[in-house]
Amino acid sequence: MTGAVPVPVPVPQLDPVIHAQARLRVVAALSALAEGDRLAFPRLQDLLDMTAGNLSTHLRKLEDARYVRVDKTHQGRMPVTFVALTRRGRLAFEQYTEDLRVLLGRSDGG
Amino acid sequence: MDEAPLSPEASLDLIDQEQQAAHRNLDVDPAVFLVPWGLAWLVAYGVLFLRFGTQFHVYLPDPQFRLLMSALPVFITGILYMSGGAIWRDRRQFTFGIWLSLINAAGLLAGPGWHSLIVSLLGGGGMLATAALQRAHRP
Repeated sequence: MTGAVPVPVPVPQLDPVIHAQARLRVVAALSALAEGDRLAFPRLQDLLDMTAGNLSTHLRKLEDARYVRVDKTHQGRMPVTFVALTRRGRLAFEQYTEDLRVLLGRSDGG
Repeated sequence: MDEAPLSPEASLDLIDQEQQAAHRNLDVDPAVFLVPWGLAWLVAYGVLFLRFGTQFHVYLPDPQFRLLMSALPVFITGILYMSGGAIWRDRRQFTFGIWLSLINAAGLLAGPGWHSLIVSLLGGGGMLATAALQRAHRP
């Protein structure tokens, strides 16, 4: 009897930009917004309970990867910063969660 | 400076937690607009019912009806400003709605005729005074 030769399934590489706990929290929170919506920096900071410096550092890395867009503007005389997930960021996040499920499916399966 | 990466299970749990927290914090509570609209309809159509009743039986005498018909638009405007302020987190809109509702209530308590005077002076006059003050303090 000849068994079917198992086809090797490639192990997904998790996106290193997203696969850091703090950045994963940022991207997950922003992914809850409707596409095109943006969140003011202080509200995102409150939501994630992160310091402004820490959040800025991680946003810069996400911005460098073009996963988030940071818009600095003014409301009256007050400077306001808005943060949004880009289309590229949303797709990367969807791919990342898909990769996690693939990894889990494999470990679950044995 | 990044923390150690999480396991796939922990990552999926974290994603779920953050998305739920974001929805809890950012989604508008439907009660914010259902309650004001519900109150407005309840009062407005309730007054119409009291005025015209069933089978042409009138429950509300004319002076009271006229007073309520004057108060209704102010009531609805106040409620809309309050709900708009709550939805858009705009303190000025919300305060304006509260002000309209307060003077409306004061006018209703004062009675027919007085209501119009109070809304005219404290409502219309108040808006004009606020506009003048804001213009004076504009940078």
